Amino acid sequence: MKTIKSDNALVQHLVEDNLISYLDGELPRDEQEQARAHLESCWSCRTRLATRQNSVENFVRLRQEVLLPRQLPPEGPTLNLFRHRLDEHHDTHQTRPRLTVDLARLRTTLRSFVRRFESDRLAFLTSPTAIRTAVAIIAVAILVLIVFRSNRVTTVSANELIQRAIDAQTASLRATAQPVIHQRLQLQRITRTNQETVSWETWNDSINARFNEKCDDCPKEPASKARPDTPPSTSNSLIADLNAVLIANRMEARHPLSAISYQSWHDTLHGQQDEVSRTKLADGSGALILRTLPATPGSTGQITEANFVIRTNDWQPMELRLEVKSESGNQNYQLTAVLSEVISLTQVDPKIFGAASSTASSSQRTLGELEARNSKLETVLPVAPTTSTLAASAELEVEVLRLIHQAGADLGEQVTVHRTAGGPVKVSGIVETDQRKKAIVTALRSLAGNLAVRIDIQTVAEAVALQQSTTGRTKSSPIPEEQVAINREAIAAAPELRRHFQNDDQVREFAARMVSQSNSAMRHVYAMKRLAGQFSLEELRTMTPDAKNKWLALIRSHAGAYRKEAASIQGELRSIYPGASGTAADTTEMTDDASLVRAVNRLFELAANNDSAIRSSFAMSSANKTASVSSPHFWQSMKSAQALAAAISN
Amino acid sequence: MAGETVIALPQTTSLRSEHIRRGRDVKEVVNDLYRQLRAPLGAYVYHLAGSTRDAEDLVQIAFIQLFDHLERNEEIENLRAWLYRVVHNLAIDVARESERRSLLLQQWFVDRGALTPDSVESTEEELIRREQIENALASLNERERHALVLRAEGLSYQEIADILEISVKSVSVYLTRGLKKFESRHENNQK
Repeated sequence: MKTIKSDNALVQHLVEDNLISYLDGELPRDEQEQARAHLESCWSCRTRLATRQNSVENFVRLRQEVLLPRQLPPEGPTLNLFRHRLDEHHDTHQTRPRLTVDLARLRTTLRSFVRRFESDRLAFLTSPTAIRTAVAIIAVAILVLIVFRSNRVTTVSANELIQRAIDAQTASLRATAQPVIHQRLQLQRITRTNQETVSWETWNDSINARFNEKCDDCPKEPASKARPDTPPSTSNSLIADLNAVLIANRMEARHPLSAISYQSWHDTLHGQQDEVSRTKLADGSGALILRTLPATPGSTGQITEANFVIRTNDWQPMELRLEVKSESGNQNYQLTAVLSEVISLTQVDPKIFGAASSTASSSQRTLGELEARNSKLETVLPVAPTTSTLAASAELEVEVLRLIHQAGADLGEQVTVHRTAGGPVKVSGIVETDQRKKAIVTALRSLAGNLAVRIDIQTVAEAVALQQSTTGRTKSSPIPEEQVAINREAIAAAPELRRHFQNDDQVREFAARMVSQSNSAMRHVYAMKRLAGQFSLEELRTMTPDAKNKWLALIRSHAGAYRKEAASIQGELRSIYPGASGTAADTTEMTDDASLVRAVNRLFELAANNDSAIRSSFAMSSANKTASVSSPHFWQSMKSAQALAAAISN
Repeated sequence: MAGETVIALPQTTSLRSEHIRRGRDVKEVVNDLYRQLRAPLGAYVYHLAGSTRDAEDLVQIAFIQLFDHLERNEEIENLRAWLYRVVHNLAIDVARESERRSLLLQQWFVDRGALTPDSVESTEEELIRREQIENALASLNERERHALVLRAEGLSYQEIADILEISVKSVSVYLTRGLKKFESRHENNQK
């Protein structure tokens, strides 16, 4: 028993918190007994106990007299309201497998209905045949309604449609280890006078920023004998022209038939006209067409109309039609998916991405090669010869980090900041677009001319061009036509989700949202962990207070952002697992840099666990049978991560 | 009044099977439980969500979730604690979403203003008294307030710990602190 020891060891007074526990009978049995014995002999404790009892009575009395009355709406109407609500809920949440039950219920309802009419002795309903006919008509009408409703897809807006397609893509990428997007496309160009068609096959390894393409029926052009190893711009003129159009319109040249690409163009428009309509694909499956008409008729090379076809059962983009303004009348490009799949890098013929088959070694090598060629591509602010760089301070490094953060370039893994001992701060990375590269370089403008900062940001296109020129000739070899089916059905948490949502689309949508939200939460944790590991404890100790505060603010802002994201995820999951609970582990005190860094690393571990639990529960995969997000362990970890993030951000 | 009704609840639930065996519809069971428990649960949620309408709404949502649970034949170990936990979580989410917690007091008054005219006439003295108590309660921190109100609703330390996701040991700490703060604050107000 926790007691206060006084001079006389026998007098063991009750500690403050135990008074209430004693009154509530919540002390362990032996302690309760000891306390009782002590109280009998101790006036002082008995007085304290009485005071406590008094506060309890006081609180209860005041609460009941003053706070509780008139708080709740009157009982009668509320009970009726709830009865209705429950009925309604029950009726609308019958899942389809229960249709038979539904019909039985319907029958009984109708019977009771009929009985009521009968008891009212309504003349025209007394004939049994009339009743039966009426019942049959109503039943048929209801059935028709049910069937009609279940087939109806709620209308979606352009942005929703794009977002769903992006989420679906994200989910399938997350569900695959070392994902490579493999697409076999048919590209067609129709002008007033001409029509050309080629088959275009692409492999996109987004993790290692590698890309390759193949075109079997492309007319052979004299300059390129071995097709795959020549950069896109000099290959087939049709593909090259399309690439030019895509780049001019901010679409993704390496992944044109994707929602991300469409969105990237769509985001550049203002006052455009969007229209979503329904269609059927050749194989009979349902699809939605998003038609976008930019408000202003653009200049040559600009898209004047786009049609984007997305299959509704898996939100897979199936077709992209672009009408492009050109000097000789408009040109129509049509990209159709013959095959689109996400496969693991291990399933890709090693020859496609050069000789190395393992990701780790090949990406390292690629980076090494990029480094070796840096002198060519380095975007050196004003003129800073690479030979005469100065040693950078930790403070300068913090400033660079802060600017990068301001430009939003510290999320995701694309830009790294690295300071070598006695050398400059190097900012290197590969970003998606030229525009992005400019934005980052602009953000770092205030450091222009600083010889201790070296900036090396490449666009993906530059990196690819570089890689292709350095990896040497890739032999054109037949590519195995292996198709890997993705098991779309296996979302571990699907049983729980199905109870909550009316159809599989909603289940999928929810699952994809969870995965992508968790993904975006993780980006903050990654960024935070990187920041924490950026400096040694010694550097942190000797840093100026100003720089130190900047560094702390960055870490806090990421921790805060993570907490928000995690809270929102938790809120959504609650609706699926209403009774789930977990207790946050105690957060450790953060008194110094070392403990802060430890806390950050701990948060990283927790967050990574949560993320993997969410992914294993909601991502499509054949491996998982149970949803780990339903386990108390997950909820505990979720709570702990938020508590820790809150502690760090404060 | 909720406080005076002693509700005998099955602690471990084979609730569904039992009632169903007796030929009762799950819906009826849930309606009955709702009638019995809406007041204490509502009073608790009120402290968190800040408005009576939200409170009633959240309590109803909790019972609808209970219905789904029973329909699926899922076990609930301790029905009362389960319900409190669900409404607690719902209320916290709502409160967080709208950042309403800081406005708790104002909301409280707005609500009361709306309710006062058609209910019993309050004397000015009564209003002042109410305000003092509300202020006293608002001076507690969240955990203290939650623990105190849950305890006043008759929940055990273990149940409170489960709902608030804290350790059993800290329940007594929060209760003690809460009672002390409430009392000293209330006394100050009266002076």
